[in-house]
Amino acid sequence: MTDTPDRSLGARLFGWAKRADGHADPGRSGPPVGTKVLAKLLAALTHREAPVVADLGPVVGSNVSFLGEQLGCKLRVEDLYADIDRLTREQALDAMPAFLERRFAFEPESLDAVLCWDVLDYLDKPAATVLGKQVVQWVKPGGVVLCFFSTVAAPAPVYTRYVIADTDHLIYRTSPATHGKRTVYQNRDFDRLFPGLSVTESFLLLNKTREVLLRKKAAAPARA
Amino acid sequence: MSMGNIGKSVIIKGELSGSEDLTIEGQVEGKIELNNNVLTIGTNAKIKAQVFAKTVVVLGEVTGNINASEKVDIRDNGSVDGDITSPKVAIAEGAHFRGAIDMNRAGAPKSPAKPEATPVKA
Repeated sequence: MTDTPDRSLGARLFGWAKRADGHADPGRSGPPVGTKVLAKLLAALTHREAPVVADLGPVVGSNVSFLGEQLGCKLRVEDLYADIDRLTREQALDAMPAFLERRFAFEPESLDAVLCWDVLDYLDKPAATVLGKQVVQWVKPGGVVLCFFSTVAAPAPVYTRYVIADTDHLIYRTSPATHGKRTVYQNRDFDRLFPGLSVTESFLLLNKTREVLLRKKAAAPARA
Repeated sequence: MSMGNIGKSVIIKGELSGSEDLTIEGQVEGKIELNNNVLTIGTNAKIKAQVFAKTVVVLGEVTGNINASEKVDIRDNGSVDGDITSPKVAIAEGAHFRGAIDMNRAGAPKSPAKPEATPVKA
């Protein structure tokens, strides 16, 4: 195979190559990719005592270790990608908003951070809206939400596990999915998805991923 | 150190406790307490229990909460549905986990301590 500019760029930025049929080749890890927003998230949580973090992605052992060592946090793993796969196989994606309404058992304002990764890209807007509103409810005042949004259509049926290499780098590890990313969001969509949160950090990476950190306004100090 | 073994045809319902390392290949429902020892959940084991041990190695299936004073190690194809409390948690690629992980702050970098207030001279 010739090392076309497209292939080398994809391999370099996304960590996977394209197959001859044009689809992404799942099951690969690429080199570490820079991340700007992870360090911001860690900084936001460092001074919180035993922060509670929800991870909406699949469990990644090294991330558990990393977050445990860095934050001493309580991590709740809720693999939403597995639910998307199951509902897709059952041809019940239309039921996703109703499913999301009853999927989680988090108490309001019980989480210091939510790692959404790129899960919203795999949802239709009605489902994403339901999830976004719930995330806003779960987060404590001053809490943060990490999201990745693809700025281009990515129909290849792969998920990406974001493996934390260090504070400034992630390894993109792809795995097969039942469908590709369904929605491309615009910047203005972020506020609509998460009413009550504000975008505090937003970075557009070379790989067409926008890393976003949103924060819920901290509670006003009580007056004396 | 002595080491026990519960074979895959054994089914235990109730409370299991001991003071030696133990490997379980059978089924246990209830509670397992090996507070100072290593518990290995073998590939054939199906555990529905609250687990307390120094170290827990999971190669089979566990439904229930795990509390380990040292480490929880979920190996490839191991499965845990429940909450884990342990200072160290290792989860292999291919392992299944659903629940919460609570790691205490031992070993975590300390945030800079606030300087102690110096007494003000009158």
